[in-house]
Amino acid sequence: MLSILYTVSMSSRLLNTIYEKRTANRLTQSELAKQVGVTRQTIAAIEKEAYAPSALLAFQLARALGTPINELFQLEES
Amino acid sequence: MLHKIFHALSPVWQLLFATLSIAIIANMFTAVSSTTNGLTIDFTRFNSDLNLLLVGLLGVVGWLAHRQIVRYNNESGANLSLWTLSPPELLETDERTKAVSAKATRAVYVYSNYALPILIVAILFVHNSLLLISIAVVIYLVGYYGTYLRDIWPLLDEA
Repeated sequence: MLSILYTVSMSSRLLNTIYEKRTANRLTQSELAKQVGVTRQTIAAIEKEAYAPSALLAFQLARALGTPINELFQLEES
Repeated sequence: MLHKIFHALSPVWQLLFATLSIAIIANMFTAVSSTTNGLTIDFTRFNSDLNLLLVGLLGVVGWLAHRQIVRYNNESGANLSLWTLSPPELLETDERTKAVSAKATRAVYVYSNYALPILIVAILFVHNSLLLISIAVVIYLVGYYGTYLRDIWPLLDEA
């Protein structure tokens, strides 16, 4: 008897609206980076969705931008 | 690409220092021979011209590394050490650069897991030749630092 295993792989992507919220707050990447204690390149990488921040950094960004975290980050599943 | 290979944060400098130091020490040890009364130094076997050249090269590499570190410190506001050769990873505070360093360090650990036993076996085969032992160690170090450089390559673009 053949048993066929179905594997379902779910890949998730973390989307964010940091660029929109940052520009709405009239902050540069450097200024935001300084507020949350990271480099400007890290903020750029997060905005490009090339890097997923840690939970701590995500909350710090939400606080710095005055936005609820669930408005700042969304999980996209494919 | 050259500016990334010889960047202040690149491990190529550690590789060059290690290679030249191994060559200098190996050259000095060729002058040491064992006798029934212990170790003696046979200066006829010590190649002082070669050592002068190697020490000179070490000085040139040190000067070039010093220039890169000073330039990097001025441009980025970092405080990389000029004299203690402590790794720049110790100064990292950004979580993304720490994550990249951690991934690179893990890759080097995996590399060493396979390369060190091979190095030990190679040394057992060539234990009579200091030159071949040195070459084997340098080959291991090239892989060691090359693996690390490969994984921190994206950081060198932005630094």
